[in-house]
Amino acid sequence: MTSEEIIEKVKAGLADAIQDTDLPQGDAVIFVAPDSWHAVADFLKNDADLKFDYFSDVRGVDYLLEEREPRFESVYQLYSIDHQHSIRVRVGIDEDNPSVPTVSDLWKGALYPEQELFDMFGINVEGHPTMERLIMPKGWEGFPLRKDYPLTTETVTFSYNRDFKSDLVKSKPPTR
Amino acid sequence: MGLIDQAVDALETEVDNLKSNVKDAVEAMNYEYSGSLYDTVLTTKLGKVVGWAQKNALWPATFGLACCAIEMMAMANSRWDAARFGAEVFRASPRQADLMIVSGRVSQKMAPILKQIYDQMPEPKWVISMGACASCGGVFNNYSIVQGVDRVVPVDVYVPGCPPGPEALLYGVIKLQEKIMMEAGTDKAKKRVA
Repeated sequence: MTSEEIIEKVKAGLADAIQDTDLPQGDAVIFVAPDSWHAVADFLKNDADLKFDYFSDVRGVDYLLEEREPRFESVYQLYSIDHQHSIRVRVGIDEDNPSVPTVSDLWKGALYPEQELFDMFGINVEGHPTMERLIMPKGWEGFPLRKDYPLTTETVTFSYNRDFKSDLVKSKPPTR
Repeated sequence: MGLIDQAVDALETEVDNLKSNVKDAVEAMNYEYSGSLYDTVLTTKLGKVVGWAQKNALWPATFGLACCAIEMMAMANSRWDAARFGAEVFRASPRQADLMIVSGRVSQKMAPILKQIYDQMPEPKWVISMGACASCGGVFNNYSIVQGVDRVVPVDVYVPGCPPGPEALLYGVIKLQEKIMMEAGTDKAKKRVA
């Protein structure tokens, strides 16, 4: 199916759950609310014409600098091995207590990507069996890929400005 | 000027000659004696011997972190041949190693593991910080990388480079050998095994 046909099909099947659709550079993209995301995923996987049986990836987006509502978004990329077509689902997530339902009961391959989504963006994936740190050490504070997370934890003593560098050297923490 | 005076002068000259002859003979004897002693007896400090033995048998721990580890492996192979300096025996267990080559960037998650490996190594032990990342964080000035492994373990030799070539690392090993030999027999060397 072409991207246009996919969007038509999804709109026909889930008229009230689809917030918006888009065709950036020929890709089928649908916008879904977190509440209806699991029902949409179930439809996308089990419909005979769509049959998105392969969960490619999930990505997180933080629109803090663009001051966009809602702030977070989790983007799911699905692929059908039989029909060789793909779809992108964008789920907008509010800033306060961000959470999204899990789809790991439909695609086992979503287990680790969703855990990483929590690890990096702090988006709580409801119903996920192991909602804990995956890449960062256990007990880590903060979510590194959020835009308000500081990139560096300490200033290194490197600068082309000699005066600034001497200040940096003075304030450098002691080494063993 | 009588005959007696002449006789006295001749006697004094004879005595002086005899004295210098004896002095030469004693010096020659001393030289000969001492030479024979140096040929047969070796005097040194025990600490220096221990340091000499340690520096020629540095056993690194098998511990690679990043791309620097590839160069570290190249150092051990036949082309650069770290065996020439007694540092080719990479031990799989830190309990058999006395040199830790931190080859690559150390993440915040890896730092406690690195510290544990260092603590498991028997004393005396040395650390080479290999490359820019291990020495100062390198290009990775971010939240996840330790900005210099000297925050975690005491470093003896820093090898610059990104990554340093095998010959640079070998030079670091040689510098470490010099350091061990300089410290041998001193309080610093004693503190290492304390």
